[in-house]
Amino acid sequence: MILPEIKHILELRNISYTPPKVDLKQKENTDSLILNNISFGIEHGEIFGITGESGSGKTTLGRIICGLINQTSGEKVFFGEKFYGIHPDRSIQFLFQNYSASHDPSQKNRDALKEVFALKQPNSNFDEFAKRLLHKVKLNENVLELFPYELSGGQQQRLALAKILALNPKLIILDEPFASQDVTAQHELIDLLLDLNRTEKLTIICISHDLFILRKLCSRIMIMNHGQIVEILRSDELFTNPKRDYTKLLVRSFV
Amino acid sequence: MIESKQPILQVDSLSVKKCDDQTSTTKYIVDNISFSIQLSEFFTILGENGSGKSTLAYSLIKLLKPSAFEISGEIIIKGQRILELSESNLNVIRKNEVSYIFQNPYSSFDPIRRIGNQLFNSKSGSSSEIMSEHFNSLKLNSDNNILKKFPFQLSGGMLQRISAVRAVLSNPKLIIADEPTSALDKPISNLFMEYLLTYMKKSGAAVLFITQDFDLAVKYSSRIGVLKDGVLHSIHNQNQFLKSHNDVYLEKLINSYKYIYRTEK
Repeated sequence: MILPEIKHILELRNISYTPPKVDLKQKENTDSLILNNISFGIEHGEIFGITGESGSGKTTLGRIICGLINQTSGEKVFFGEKFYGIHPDRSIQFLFQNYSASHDPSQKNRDALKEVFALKQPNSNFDEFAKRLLHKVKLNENVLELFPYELSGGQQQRLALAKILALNPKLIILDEPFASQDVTAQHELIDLLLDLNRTEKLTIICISHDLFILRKLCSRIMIMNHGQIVEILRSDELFTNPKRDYTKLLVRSFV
Repeated sequence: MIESKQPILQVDSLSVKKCDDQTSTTKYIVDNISFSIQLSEFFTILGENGSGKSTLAYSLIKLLKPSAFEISGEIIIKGQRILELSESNLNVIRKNEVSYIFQNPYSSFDPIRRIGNQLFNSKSGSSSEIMSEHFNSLKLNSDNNILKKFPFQLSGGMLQRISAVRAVLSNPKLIIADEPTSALDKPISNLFMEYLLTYMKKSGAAVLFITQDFDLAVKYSSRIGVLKDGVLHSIHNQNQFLKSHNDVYLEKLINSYKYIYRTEK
């Protein structure tokens, strides 16, 4: 059992998840425990990686942390306070893998950003705010006058990130942000996230199946398999000193 | 020595022009590309998003909509000029000589037929033992009775591996794989590549692998062609690819690759 510690920004205690039954006949799916008794803590200001094969439950876990779906049992603790569902301060934000779907195609980026702006800082100056925000994600200001479809995939992703950051989150969860990107874009995104982490003291959870990228980005990496935690390693130990057999196998399949 | 053999695929100054009816503008998606692939060769085309990789791949067996694209140049597969063939002759080539693995497996299977019916249509009279051998080498669990399932009942990763089996079963001389691994995780991608490589070695066929995954390209191909903005930037042998080039674009790619994949800091 992991004991509660104050330095943890987020703590999960015995989280389990079984999806609602879809198949009414219930012929086969009897033991569909997607997450099984997950407990761990995330330190303030760290970049935490979650990895595992497809179907290991890593995205489901991310969604539960953010409150997009609710756990079947167990509890979530944020800064020492329990919460259920979406955190009331919107302090936990989620960047979807399919980030292009998070932009309204009929709206100019300026208007879309204004909506987010109105949620959090209705009394300050929008232009200044937008400038600062776009600077954070290294986007040029002229994207404001464009529609989402006029941006490249990487720019769309950064804009989605900017919208999240506009809400002043304490913790952001990125779901496979590196999928379907070429190496130069991956490199730039890693640098951007490291920068945000350093300058904004932003805690980041990064869900990815790419061990190489996680090693570069994260301080600790959690390996999951069949809805359970296999182990949590420091990123420098991942390739050199994995303890469990499953991790060894996973690492070997990468190199 | 290699030059004396006839290449399985030869592309000479191929250009693909996209015509937009509404704005009546034209744009070269693929611009004057020439390369050739020998049998038993694993040739990779590496390019970023929007560099024209998929358009190039589609144009090779004329899968582009003729009204929207204008193809010029020369494509020769097994001695036959693709651009001059009639649709029925083209279908013979598509069926017997070339297998195509599409990026999105859901759209490349018939949604209302069971997987088994779609695989057994391939021309080799494959028995279930052969089939389970293929499935096992791709870590597809054959007890699940995949053959009786419909495409929508399988995950994207499973279906993509099945489409590799389908490509191999028809015993082609050339496999064109258009970003097949973009939906697969790394271990499965490696498995997928090994599977194609094994088939290549066994049958002497050639593989044209199209990807943006630098790591896979470096690991598996014998030659790598770098595509940038529709132009074939350069072609390299695998063992020379990571060495330094006097080229800003390539250096940037390779530096990013080393930044992520190499341990030295």
